Amino acid sequence: MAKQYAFYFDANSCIDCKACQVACQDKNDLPGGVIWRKVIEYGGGDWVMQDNVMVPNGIFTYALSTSCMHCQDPICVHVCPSGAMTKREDGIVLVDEDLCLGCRYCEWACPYGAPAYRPELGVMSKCTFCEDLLAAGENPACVDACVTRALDYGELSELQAKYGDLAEMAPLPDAKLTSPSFVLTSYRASQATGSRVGKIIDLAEEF
Amino acid sequence: MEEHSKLENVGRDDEINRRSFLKWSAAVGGTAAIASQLSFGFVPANTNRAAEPGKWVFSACWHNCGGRCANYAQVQDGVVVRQKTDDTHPDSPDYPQQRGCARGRSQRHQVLGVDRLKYPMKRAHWAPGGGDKELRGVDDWVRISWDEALDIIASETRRIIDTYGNKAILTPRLSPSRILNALGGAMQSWGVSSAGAWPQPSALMAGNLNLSAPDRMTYRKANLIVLWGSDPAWSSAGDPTYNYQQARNAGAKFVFVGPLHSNSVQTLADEWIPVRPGTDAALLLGMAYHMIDNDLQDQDFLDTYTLGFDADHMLEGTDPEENLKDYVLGTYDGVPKTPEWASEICGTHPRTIRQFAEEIARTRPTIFIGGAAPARTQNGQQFVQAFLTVGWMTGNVGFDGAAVCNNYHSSASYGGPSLVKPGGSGLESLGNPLFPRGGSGYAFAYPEDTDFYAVAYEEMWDAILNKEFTATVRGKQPCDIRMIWTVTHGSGGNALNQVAGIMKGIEAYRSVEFVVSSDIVLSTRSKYADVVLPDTTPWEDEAGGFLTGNPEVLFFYSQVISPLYEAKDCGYWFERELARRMGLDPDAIYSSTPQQQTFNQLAGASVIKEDGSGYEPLLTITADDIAAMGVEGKPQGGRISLSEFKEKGVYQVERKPGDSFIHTPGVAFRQDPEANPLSTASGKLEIHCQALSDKIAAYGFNTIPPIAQYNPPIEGYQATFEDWDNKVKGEYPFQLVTLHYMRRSHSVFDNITQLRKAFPEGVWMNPADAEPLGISHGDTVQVSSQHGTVIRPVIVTTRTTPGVVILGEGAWFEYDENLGADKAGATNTLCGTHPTGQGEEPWNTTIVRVDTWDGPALEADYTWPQRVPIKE
Amino acid sequence: MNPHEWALVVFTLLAQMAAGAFIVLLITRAAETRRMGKEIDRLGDLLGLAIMAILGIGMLASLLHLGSPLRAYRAVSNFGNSWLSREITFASAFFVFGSLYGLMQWAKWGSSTLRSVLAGIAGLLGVSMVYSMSRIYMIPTEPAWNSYETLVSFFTAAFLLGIFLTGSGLVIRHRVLSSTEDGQQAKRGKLLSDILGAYGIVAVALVGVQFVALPVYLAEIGDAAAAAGSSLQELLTSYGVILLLRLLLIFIGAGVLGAMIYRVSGKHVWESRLASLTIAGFSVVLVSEVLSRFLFYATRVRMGLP
Repeated sequence: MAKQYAFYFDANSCIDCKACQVACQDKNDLPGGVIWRKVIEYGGGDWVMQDNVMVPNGIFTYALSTSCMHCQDPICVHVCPSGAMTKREDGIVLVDEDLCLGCRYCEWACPYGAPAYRPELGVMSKCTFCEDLLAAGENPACVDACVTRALDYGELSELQAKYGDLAEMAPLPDAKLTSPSFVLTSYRASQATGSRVGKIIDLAEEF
Repeated sequence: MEEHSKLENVGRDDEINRRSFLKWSAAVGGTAAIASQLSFGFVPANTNRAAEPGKWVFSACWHNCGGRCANYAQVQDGVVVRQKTDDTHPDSPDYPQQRGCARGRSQRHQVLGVDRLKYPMKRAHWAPGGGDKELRGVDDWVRISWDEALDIIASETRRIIDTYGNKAILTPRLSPSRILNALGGAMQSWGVSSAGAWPQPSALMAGNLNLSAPDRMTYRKANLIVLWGSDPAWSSAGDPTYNYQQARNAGAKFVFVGPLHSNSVQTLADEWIPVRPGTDAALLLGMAYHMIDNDLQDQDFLDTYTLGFDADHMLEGTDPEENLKDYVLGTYDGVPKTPEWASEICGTHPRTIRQFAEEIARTRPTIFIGGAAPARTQNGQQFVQAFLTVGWMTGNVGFDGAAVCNNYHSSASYGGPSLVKPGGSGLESLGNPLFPRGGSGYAFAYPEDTDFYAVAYEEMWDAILNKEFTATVRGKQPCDIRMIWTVTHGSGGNALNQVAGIMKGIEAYRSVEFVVSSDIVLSTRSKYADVVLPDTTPWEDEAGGFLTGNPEVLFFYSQVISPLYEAKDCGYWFERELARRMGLDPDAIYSSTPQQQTFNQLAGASVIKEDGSGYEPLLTITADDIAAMGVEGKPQGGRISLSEFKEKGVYQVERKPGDSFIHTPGVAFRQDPEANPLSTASGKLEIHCQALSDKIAAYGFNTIPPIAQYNPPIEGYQATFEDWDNKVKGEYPFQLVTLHYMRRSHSVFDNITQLRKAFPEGVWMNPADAEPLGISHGDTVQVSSQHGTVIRPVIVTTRTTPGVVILGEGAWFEYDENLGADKAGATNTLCGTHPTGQGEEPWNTTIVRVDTWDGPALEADYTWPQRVPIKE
Repeated sequence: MNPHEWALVVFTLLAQMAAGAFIVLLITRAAETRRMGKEIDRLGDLLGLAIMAILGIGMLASLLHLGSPLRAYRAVSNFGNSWLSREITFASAFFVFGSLYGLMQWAKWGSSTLRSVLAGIAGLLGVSMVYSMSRIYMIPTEPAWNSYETLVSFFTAAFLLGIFLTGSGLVIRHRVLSSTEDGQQAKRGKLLSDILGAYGIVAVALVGVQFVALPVYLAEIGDAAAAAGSSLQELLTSYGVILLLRLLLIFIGAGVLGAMIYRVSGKHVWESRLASLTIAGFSVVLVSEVLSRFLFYATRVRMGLP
């Protein structure tokens, strides 16, 4: 059994196609408006006038696919009043939908926007790392779905050995906050966490 | 008026209600084994799916999305509970799984959604002759029996044929059903949609070198790959982008040209060169100028393998002054096509134009790929002519890692012949007597014919309203269309939504006497019909069938579920029933069953031999197999067993670098052009192509020069100005580009909630354009053209070129009478009809304005209710 | 702002009002017991129960913010880690002890010492409740809330509302008792006038605290990371008018009216003006604090991913 399950993401491969997001919805039979994995498009740069011609100046875009980070220091577990939010020995953080009150405090607390409210059930829900599939020897649905193979998963220390230990890139928050179990290869023109050079170029309704 | 069920975010309320499904299933004793533990619809999350024993069936993903991928459905108690994609072999760059996209992965919500059409229905205010025709699109729906539906269709069809002739029946953007052909035919439509203006220039200038691209492995050998007006990440679903990433990883430099910093640019590009829509030819001519000015073109190649580049190499009988080089230099028209000249038109900086010209001239091998988007413009021929010309000027033809080619649909990143393919169905053709050489009408190539009766896509609505159409070389001819028929087996064919000029199209729809449609959900073509028939989806077809896409793989889908409610195959079953009512022999319409046709395809399926020397049968078929399918045939030997093939649903030829399936286009021609002439008039690549000029003239809409030139398109960049010389913008200051959007496959899937959530159909606009108008990211805005108005949320981003506004094509037109606008953002509300060239549809030359919207903000698309026409 | 956050506006204001009023009542009793003895008893004998009723309504309102209100009792399960568990625990205990006190005070059960002890415990629980409530919001993912301003805002709200609620309760009781003609009215009136004078000057001081803290807070969030800056931008653009209105109303309600109450009370006799000023003050302060609490929730911008 892994000590800490983690996801890996390669920002140079992702094309914002949302196959991962939809595969997760399908596998977990979620309503169309509830997502456990999201893909965020981030970009910046501007256009400048040169010799009477508008030219692009450092235009960049990249996408980021994230779900729950199954953090090593999960603030959601810390703040949950009912004890519905727990962290397992293998590092997976789960919300027990039978205990959850639907107070949405975890939604306020999570810097990754992972907990998703289910209005039809009155409780919170979130990425389970497909723990049932893992138990059956299969991969998480999102990893198998990715059409450009941008996602991987495994034991955190092994992923770090393979890909490095970077866990931050704009618009991700500072990794020191909750120590996400996550490794990423940053986009070649990416902005550091906290940078205000770019912005999220999706509509709010996508999340 | 029409009711919509309120879509609450309650469980999976957007799927067919379990109780009513059970009731129906029990009543008809359907094959769905009803267990009390049906979890479908009201299941809490975290259900332990992996432990449940549902069976996986290879299910069809049949869409016109630019890809073709593996899609499996897990069936439990007669319903689909989960989907997955290819896992038939370990994944690797050389032998990749055929992974599906968000759309295919949402297929079960399309097949099993609450909005699935269950019963035949007619408009409440319909009567023979049309009844209250003004209510088409807004009327209530009444459920009718199949008997009544068939009787209505039989009698109206008979009446209209007898009164007005077969020419009075229009089948917009569809081949007529076989039964219509048996009854004497129908008025078909023709033209080019996705491929734009590529077909004729490619066929006549390049001949059998055509759109040829190298095979997938060879892309890794290129030093430079140019993708011009192409966005495979969102236009060619499946593996193409992953394949291109392998070329990137192998060291190829990628340059993208286009108005959008797309997701393809994001993952692949070393450089992005912006260009205004419809001005690509000017940019190319500017590059040609730089090359000629600095003697960078591959003159030996041009002299040996092409015609028309300069006065010394012209086809006999043509005017030597008409050569490309003198046009570019401005020898006769006094306008040298310098990069400065080009920049004023195309918006690219002259320095960039020069650098890019240097790069393609000096880099070998280069794969120079032209997309279809720049050819989907008015005067789109000029882009293709210029693109091929400049490509050939670099000489990147006929050797390893080089190509001048097209990047289209599922052939993106895949060139060469199919390595595995199905056999023929054996069904004899039953063509349209009114359009003998037309085929489906797509890329119709015989405008010189004088014996046909068919109308260009861009002229259909005008033909209905004005009672005349352009009959190519015969000029304008009268017509009198009284009926619109969009009955077919399969989704798509949504002409009213997908052809320009929706407002005019609705007027046309409301003027004819009878409109009949089949559909799986109430898409636009059915919403405005009189009678609508519920079609089965390929998931419900007993016989199963083949799907093809990229050349390395063959798919076979099997039946997943029983037909839902009263849905029927609106090809085979419907036409035979209709035949009975109209005095025809059903077997004359379909002489063999779907099972037999599928069997013939299975038996004839072939796969390339390991050494590439020919093909051999794919499948081993036993006598038991034949008996089990209930068909006629002979046992045979092949590479894999039929049952294994059906179970896996995929046969993919395994490839390795250096295998026998390398394809480099034009090698023989390059080695010996005399012995291996191309199929062009001259046998060579025709930069000057009189045949093309004559062919376009024959279509009857406009004329083009035999060489690449830049002539400002209708509704192109120049049309955004009221005073071009002083650069004063006019009423429609922006150019619209219609994007292939990942929410849909064209218009299919628009009704799926989770796809609406993922892809909100925003209109993309540069802040340089938005800020002066007081428009901020997330605002609701109004986009209008001379042809109509839509309302959408806006995404303000610097990733689009200033002056260019971008909106995904295919949203289902949703007109709001109070707002006087389409709320969904159907781009064909904005695009006008412009019959042109070879009948291509010039969507990317459309000028628009954007204004702030004072009305109520739009609700997010994913909260909109489904279209459920018959309440239960 | 979604509906469930309105339930929190109601709950937090009513609960804070109850805690503040309870403390104010306790302090007032302690300060005036020797001087007035039974008189203060008569003035304040129903107040304890009234305050607990308000707390009870607030706690019921808080159920409306839960997706599964029937499971609310589980909210105390993570006392060891979660400020929300602590807040619910303290609120419930405050309600129990406070109601017990209120009942005993009104029915005159038990010795006055016992009642005072219960009151003291309840008071501590009430303060702990407001403190826990503040700490719920002070998490790093909510930069606009993760500031001492939240403590200042919640405690000043508690005491401003508490002062005016208690004051209003007392003046209403005084009016009711005036019809009993027990001959103590003048004495009670003088007592009440002195009490209200103290309340008035404390109200002015509390408004002062709020006005000093605000620019410090705005500078703090203006400086900080993007999400906080967005909160500030939201506050000043979409909600600028509401903020101005809130500031104007608290200045008038607690500042101006509080000062007027103080001045009038300086005469050391009862004037009926004091009643109307107090009740007017309560209304204006309540509206202002509702606006303030609305802004608190409405300008929330969580940092990190959407």
